[in-house]
Amino acid sequence: MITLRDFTIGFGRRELLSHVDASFSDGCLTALLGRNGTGKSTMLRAIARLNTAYTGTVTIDGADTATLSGIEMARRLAFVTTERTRIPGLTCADVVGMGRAPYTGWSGHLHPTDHAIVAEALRSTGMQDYAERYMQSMSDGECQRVMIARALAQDTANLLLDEPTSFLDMPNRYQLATLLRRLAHDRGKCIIFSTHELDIALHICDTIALVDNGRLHHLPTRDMADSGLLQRLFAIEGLDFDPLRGFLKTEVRSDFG
Amino acid sequence: MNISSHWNPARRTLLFIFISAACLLLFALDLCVGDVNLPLRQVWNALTGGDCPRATAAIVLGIRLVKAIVAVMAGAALGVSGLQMQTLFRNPLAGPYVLGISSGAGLGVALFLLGAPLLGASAWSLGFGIAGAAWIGSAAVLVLMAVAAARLRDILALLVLGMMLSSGVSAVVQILQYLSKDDALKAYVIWTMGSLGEVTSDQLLILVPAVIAGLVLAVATVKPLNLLLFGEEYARTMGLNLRKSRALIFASTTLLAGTITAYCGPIGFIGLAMPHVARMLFGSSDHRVLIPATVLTGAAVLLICDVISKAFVLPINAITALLGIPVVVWIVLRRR
Repeated sequence: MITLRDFTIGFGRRELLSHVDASFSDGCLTALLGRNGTGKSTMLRAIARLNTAYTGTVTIDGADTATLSGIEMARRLAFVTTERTRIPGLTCADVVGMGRAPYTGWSGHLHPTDHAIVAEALRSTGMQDYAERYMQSMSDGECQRVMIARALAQDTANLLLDEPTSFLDMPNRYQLATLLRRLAHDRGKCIIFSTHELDIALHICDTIALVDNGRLHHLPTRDMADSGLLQRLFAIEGLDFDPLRGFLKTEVRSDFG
Repeated sequence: MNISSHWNPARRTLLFIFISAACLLLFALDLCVGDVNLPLRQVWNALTGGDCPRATAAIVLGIRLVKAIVAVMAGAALGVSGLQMQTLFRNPLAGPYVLGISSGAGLGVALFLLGAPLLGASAWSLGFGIAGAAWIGSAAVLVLMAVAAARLRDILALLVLGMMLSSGVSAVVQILQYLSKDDALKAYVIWTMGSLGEVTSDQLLILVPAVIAGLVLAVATVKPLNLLLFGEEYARTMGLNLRKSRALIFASTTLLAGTITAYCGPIGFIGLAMPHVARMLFGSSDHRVLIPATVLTGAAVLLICDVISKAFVLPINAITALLGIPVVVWIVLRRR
């Protein structure tokens, strides 16, 4: 459960979000939409406390993030950034095992229960056969899954992902979004991911949060589709937006009469 | 890196045993080789207080043993320090000196050897010796860098700052060199060539505990170092306290590289090359493997360098460079 209260953040002098109140529940998959540069990443990074230049409060599972230690934070929230991470010399199992860091001792030694959690995280993401593979020999999509498995091993009730579908091809995008929905519904996690894929957001997510000129509209997917907000924000001349089918399609015009 | 083979723990253990044995053999060889080549039996007798000429015992215990211990310490310290900097800056070409430790030490020594005579004082009347001057110089630079690190979030900015500080300090050293007399200049240039042989057995009582303290700190930071492989942001989301970890890693590197530079001068390439050799040999980026691996490979390689430098009577820095440069070239070529 992630809650924003009177949340205002900017980039430099420009205010991106102002006086936002929003709440994201457990068991719910939320797509964070918005045009480029409107503050999607900035908002996610602020929730993860990677950016603290905001006013207002962010609470995670009832606790103000400003009062939490790094470890307490890491036990409540996991984050998958846009960075392409490929660490040579570590196996997938090593990488996912690093997600246990908030629970392990000074050396990071994994106990049998940790190994079980790592194996389960690899299984949930469909990467169980890659446990002993090194990341340098894997595709972007596979590395992305391993980084998500690492976030799952962190065993948090909340999960943020910044544009997780951007390196993936079409089938992989849907597969990943379906995986996120399963994790939200089956494990009761609160998951927010930023994306530009309107169709994925409309077909797979439970709620949509839309950044619109300093405001954040957060509605159940169906209500968002009906609200007219998406059309207003994403429709451009020559393209038509169908909120029910959910994708942008070219309008067939018969200009030649 | 293109490692696809599976490195099981048994294979790693075997490799550790093999390199440890190699270190022991090289240590023995280092004791035998010198101006006078001694047979192993005499060296052994000298070490154990057995039957051997008094001069031999003096050479082995008073000179060669001290120098071999210094070689082991310097190899281990510079290697681990280089590993820490490569991980902290996420840069395979970082080494123990990226924070400006060697240039700080260089400035200390330059002020001591070159600056003091310019002001009319004899260098040696100041009382704290070259090592003390080097220590003060590198400590001053590190305090500056630590203050900057506490304020700067961006690790790249810190890297640039370290490089600029080094260049600025080098410029001051050049001015001092330009103004200095021949004998002072020669003493300074010889210091910059590095030497494992200037350390006395009394100084060993400072050097060894300082390096061991640095290594203990390095071992204590294996988990932060492993998390930093993911970059600082990911590391923070996994619970890393960035400021505390940076401070501990800086302290460790100061103890390791600062101490060695103070006593031996700036020894190049070991700190840059050894972590890569350890990664290649052990097929891992896990610091729980890499720290002991770098200690052993660093010690072994500096012992080899010392044997070569004694056999051909050459400065140690020339040897470490000639052995280290191919490794650096190999890193650059392999990354393409």
